[in-house]
Amino acid sequence: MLFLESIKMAFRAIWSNKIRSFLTMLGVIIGVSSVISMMAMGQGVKQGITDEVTAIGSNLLTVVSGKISADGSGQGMAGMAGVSSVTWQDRKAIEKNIDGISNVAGLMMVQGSLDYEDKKTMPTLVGGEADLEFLNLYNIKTGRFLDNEDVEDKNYNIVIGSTIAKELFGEGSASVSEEATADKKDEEALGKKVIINGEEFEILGVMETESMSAVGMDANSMVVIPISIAREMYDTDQLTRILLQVEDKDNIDNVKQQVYDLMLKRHKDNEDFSILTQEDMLSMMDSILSLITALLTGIASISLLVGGIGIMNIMLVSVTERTREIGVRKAIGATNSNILMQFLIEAAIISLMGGGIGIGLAWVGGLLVSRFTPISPEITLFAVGLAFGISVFVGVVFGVAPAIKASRKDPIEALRYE
Amino acid sequence: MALIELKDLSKIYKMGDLEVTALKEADLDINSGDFLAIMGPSGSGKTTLMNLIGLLDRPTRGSYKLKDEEVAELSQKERAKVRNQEIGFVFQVFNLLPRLTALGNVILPLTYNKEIPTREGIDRAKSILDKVGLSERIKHKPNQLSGGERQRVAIARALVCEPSIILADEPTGNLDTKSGLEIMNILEKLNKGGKTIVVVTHEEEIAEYAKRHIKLKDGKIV
Ligand SMILES: Nc1ncnc2c1ncn2[C@@H]1O[C@H](COP(=O)(O)OP(=O)(O)OP(=O)(O)O)[C@@H](O)[C@H]1O
Ligand SMILES: [Mg+2]
Repeated sequence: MLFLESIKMAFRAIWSNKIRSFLTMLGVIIGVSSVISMMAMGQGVKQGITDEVTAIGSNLLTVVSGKISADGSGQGMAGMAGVSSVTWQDRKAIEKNIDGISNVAGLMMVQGSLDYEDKKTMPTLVGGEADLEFLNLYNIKTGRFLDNEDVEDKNYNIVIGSTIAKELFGEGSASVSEEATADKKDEEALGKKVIINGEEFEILGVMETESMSAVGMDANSMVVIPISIAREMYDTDQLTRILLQVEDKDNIDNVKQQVYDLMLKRHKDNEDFSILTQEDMLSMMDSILSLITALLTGIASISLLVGGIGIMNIMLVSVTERTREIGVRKAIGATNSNILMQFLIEAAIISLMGGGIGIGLAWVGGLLVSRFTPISPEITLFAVGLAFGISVFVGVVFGVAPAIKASRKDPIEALRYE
Repeated sequence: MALIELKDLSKIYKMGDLEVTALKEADLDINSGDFLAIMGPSGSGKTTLMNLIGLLDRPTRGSYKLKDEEVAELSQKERAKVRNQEIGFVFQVFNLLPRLTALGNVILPLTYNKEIPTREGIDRAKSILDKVGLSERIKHKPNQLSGGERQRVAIARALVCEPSIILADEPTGNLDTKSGLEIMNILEKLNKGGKTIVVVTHEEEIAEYAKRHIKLKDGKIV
């Protein structure tokens, strides 16, 4: 009876000060929704990557520069920026010396811009070769991928991602349905001449991927030029990575060891490279993502702290305002703990309502994010439970001081309060 | 056996080095069914005495027996229980909660009473409101009621837990003569029905309702 009555009283008090109550909740709303959003995004990205890696298959080996351990520590992905220790010659040696490989491809990420008529774009420019096609990193939508001839003869041919295609050829034919339009501009792209670093290239095909590639590049915004041309243009043999596909999945450890031995010999016993399986990539991404998620969640929880302080502030004001009420309640038989509970419950309910709204907000935000980005945030039951738990906790922790203040008021003083 | 027995009851307020003796060695017996008026000049200690009888305050010295039980040293929690079950307060300034309706205010003490079932309490609250002539006003908020009506709600609130004593500190102080007399009529009726009533007042006219009178002067019963 008393507990239920306290809840009713709390709602009455909250309702009688609607705007103030809402503003008080706002801190918790923002806090909870950002914590939940961060967790949901992290979870969503993680799930996306896991799905993709699974789709690519577990028979892919990636050779990159720098010593990377599976937990993501070490020199980091040195190949992405600065000097890479992995070279074209390494790639050739692997092809020549290692058995049990079905495909091998070097990949060189370079800087450059692309011009088409009066349009200019900055794609992820990649020097690649024919075997990339077999690695399942993307699908060819129209046209074809680079073949061995393009690479060997240094044909000025390129393959572009669907995002780039949309960017360059997206305008016009608005009356057709969206899908038809998309197909149409892909078609339109074929055979078109574009300028990259002053050289003219012809578009051979358009490719796309569902989402971010596990190898850390979005193929949709990628432009692939023959690696032979890239080597000349940029005057380098450094590769961002070498990708190889093992014929027999069960043989992957053996192949990995062979590649390792070969590379170590070639690099004169200096282990300045890493050979990663998809599983390694996955656990690496996973630990990096977990760290980022934890960090962002931590930052987001600071707003929860601020929300809690807001509750404390308003509850202190409320206790002072309601001094006479406290006096009356004590005169008619309320004990100190009755008063304590009343204010504590009020603080907890404010916080809990804030938490509820916050979860709703995060949910709506998640829908928007999955609608407009490749990430699909996942709000887990755990996260919801955690959010409610945290809200009650915040309410109680920051409500305690005001509630104690209320409960300790001397009834006579309180009744005399103007 | 008296309902209330005060012996050598003193209350001293300390303000820094200064000591104010608000009540000095008061001896007083109040029997069940009494209607007592406490009179005296301003500052003589009337409210202090009422607060002690009502267990809102603790005496500095002395003994207070309520129904033959020593209550001067009770804990905060026990005192709250006695206030809820044995004592009904009526204040000069009504002290109703503005957010609650008349009925809401009257049933408020039931929130803190474990003995009376809610349903029964609400029925009783309605019948008491009816008795004080407010059956048409139970949904009104205090600010929609006249002073006299507010004080009648306060009396109903004081009665809802069926206390043995009603303590009214200048209950007519904020009312015009007519409403004041109405309130006194209600209290007189309650006394006839067996309730023990203690009223603090300045006015002779009000004090005449009481069966017994005491006077305070400088904290002493004279
Ligand atoms: N909390 C307090 N601290 C210090 N002194 C107090 C306190 N409460 C009352 N007093 C003093 O005790 C004395 C008695 O006060 P009390 O309120 O009992 O008088 P009263 O007879 O009710 O007066 P009135 O008729 O004006 O209501 C006064 O001198 C008052 O100043
Ligand atoms: Mg007084």
